Amino acid sequence: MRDLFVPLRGLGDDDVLVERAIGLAHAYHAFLSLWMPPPGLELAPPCGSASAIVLAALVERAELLAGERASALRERMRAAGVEGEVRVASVPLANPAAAMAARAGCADLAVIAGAPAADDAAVAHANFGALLSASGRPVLVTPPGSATSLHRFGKLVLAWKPTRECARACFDALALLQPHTVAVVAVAGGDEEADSATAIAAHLSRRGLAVDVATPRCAGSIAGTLLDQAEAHGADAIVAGGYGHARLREWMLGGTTRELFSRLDRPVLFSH
Amino acid sequence: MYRDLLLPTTGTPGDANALEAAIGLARMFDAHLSVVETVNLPMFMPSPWGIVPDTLLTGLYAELNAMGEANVEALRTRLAREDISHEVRLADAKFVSRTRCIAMQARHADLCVLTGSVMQTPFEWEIVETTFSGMLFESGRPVLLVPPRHPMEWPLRHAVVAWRPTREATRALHDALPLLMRAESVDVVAIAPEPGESRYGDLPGADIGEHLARHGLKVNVVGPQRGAMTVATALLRHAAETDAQLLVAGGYGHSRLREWVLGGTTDDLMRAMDLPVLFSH
Repeated sequence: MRDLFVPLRGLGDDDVLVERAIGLAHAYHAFLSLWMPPPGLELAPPCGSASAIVLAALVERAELLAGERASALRERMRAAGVEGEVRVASVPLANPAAAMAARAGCADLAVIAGAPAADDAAVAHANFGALLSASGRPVLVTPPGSATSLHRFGKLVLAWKPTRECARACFDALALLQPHTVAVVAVAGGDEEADSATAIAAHLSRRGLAVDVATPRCAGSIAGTLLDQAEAHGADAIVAGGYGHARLREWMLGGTTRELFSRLDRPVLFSH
Repeated sequence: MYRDLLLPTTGTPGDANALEAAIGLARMFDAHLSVVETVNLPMFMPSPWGIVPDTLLTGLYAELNAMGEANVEALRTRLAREDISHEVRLADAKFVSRTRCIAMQARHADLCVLTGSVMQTPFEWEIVETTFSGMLFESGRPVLLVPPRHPMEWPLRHAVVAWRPTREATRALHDALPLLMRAESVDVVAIAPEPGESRYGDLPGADIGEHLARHGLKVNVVGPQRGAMTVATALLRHAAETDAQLLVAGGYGHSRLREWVLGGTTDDLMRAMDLPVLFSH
């Protein structure tokens, strides 16, 4: 893993995310790209009714503030001894999510924070959905709040189902995170799922990894069962396929993906 | 690092060359090679009475199974001569879709190898194309298409990456990294943006070039091609001019329907390719 992409949201919890990203960049000797939306605009109401002059002034002010914030972030990375860059999204009124996803496509991994307090959750979900479905790169979601910083991920729980999303997540995680131990967890499946879990475990063994296979019954919800398994295995992170089922942005995230995203208490790597 | 390779056979003459390429790859990466031969029963149209005669089917099953067993034996004999870890499996796809059966197995492999364009008969084209698109869409794993009659050359001197800022293109190049890292040089060809496309940024290909350079690749970014050539022609011409041995491209960036109606780069590449192409979706 050489390139981390971290889209900031211009909100208070950015500081925690930057701190974690710096830790991860250190651990994997990776280049850190921070991406900033011009502050405030993403959350502003539709600008259709504002006059051009007012709008231009707002954009100018926003860009000025973003520039100052970018300088501060560059200084912080320098102080931490991490190589990286800070970019400010230059077209504030175009579709920022699409631009963000395109930029993430030029990195190995996007790192974001999980769903924060309720009033920001819509933006967090929209960004996550856009990155997951459009960037073509996996997304590492870190738990919100001020928990511990990130290190190398030695021990992973692989949430396995025989689907292309899980296959992507598995191989993305192997290539990027370079774990030494993987617990394959197949929740509530039949014979086909069990066979597939055995087959992927055989592959992991051929890579020289320590492998364990668990097929727990679903306790409550699949997401909850996965979180329990991660706790039981003492995993540094969970690896899971992320599902986009429906067309509308609001419903973009499948049930398990959405629940995992909202409840996670340790980093989760999603691939689509 | 590739540790597991999967080669589904198609029953077409190109299988032999694809097998040689897969053996070469397995040796280079010290990887395990699984070859899957499928016993496939074509779907019958029911007779006007809605019944297919039993006796006909039983006879056909026996014949198909025997053919499959014979192919597996031949493959085992061929692979016994190689000092690579391998296995040959016979997959029963009589009652499930053949492509689904193969895609399921592909999900446990790093890379799938498959014979590429075969233009002799429509039937051969059909079976190769359905296998290819089924694996690409369903498995989540990259597919290396090896054209018949073009042996894969090792070591890799030069590779070409087709670049558009799309999720398919970025998946393809990341999936190809273990191969690209072994190339002496890599050209990133930025494909001209389509009308209205604004995701490129100021310098097409600059960001991805920097990213690949950070992975230690010797990268040369080539600007968008101009002129009336199709994207596939421009890519293959560039590959030929630079003496490339591998092309990496996102597969089916547009919807299948759109590709079917308007034609598409993936189909064009499949029909005209004269070097191995790694696709990912």
